[in-house]
Amino acid sequence: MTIQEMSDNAQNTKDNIGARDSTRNPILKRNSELIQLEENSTIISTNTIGNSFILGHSVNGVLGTANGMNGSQIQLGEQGRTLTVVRIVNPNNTFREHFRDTVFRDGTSVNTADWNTTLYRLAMTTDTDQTTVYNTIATLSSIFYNEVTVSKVLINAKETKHGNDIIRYMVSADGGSNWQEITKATDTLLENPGQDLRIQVIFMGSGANETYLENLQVKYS
Amino acid sequence: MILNTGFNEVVEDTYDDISNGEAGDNGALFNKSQTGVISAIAATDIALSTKILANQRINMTYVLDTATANGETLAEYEVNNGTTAYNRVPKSDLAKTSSDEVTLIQSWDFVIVI
Repeated sequence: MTIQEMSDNAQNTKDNIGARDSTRNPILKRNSELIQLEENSTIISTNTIGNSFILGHSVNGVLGTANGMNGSQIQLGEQGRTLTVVRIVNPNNTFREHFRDTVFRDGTSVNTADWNTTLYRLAMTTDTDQTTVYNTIATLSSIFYNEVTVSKVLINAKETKHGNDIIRYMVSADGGSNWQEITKATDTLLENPGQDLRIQVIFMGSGANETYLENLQVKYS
Repeated sequence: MILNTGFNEVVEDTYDDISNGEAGDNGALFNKSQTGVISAIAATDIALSTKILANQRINMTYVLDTATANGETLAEYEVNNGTTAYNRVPKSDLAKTSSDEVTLIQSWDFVIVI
């Protein structure tokens, strides 16, 4: 007899006796565990051959001629190559950042917040001093770039804030030319739709490394 | 409760199993009932260039060199184990020429949700 059946029988007995029903079915708590596989962003780039020698190639297969893809003489080794990111796509139009690496940390922009790949979080700062007021920023490089126009964005993140600290989110869909502040967990229409989606996170307050966010998600359409 | 050893076993089994990438030329929207790329370009079913497992994350790199799939339009991509596709990634068209290599980088995270 299962626990559920025993419980049902007890309930039935009480009902038949006729006394006021005070029994309660036990709540069977199940420890649910899932192993989840999450697909992250796919980054697609092209790398031109430049004037590198490539054995058997119709153009770059002849050493010493000045007809490389960039008009230079064909030379041995990696010569004149240009790497360009041409697409960044995300499953279900949702970018996820778990801060396990710094692939999407924009190295060409200001980044004063702490991209903590040990604790998997984006923190206000590495500092612990909570007598100082901080104003730090994290800028992510392109998180979506696919010749499809983005006009609506929804951001979610698990925030941990010290005191009255503030975390703000800025979005640009035109590669960083125009930024718009959006409220977390609010579907927001963009004033400047575009095809190159970027995010900034701004921290203000004195929580130091005790103010941070985890599991940043950006849903777009 | 799932032990760390059991969790690691699941992650490592997946890591060991995946082997190849393949591209196709149909960028139709994704749905779960698909079994891989919709319109495969046979020459692109090749081994992943790299796969690295660290911190319950698998990082993969797939490269189409200057001699592969030239003249084709790349619009979708999958990771497979030689037979079965794990995922499908549609994207906008990208023309493949002999002037460049095309590299795809992707990562998967494994997490326990309680």
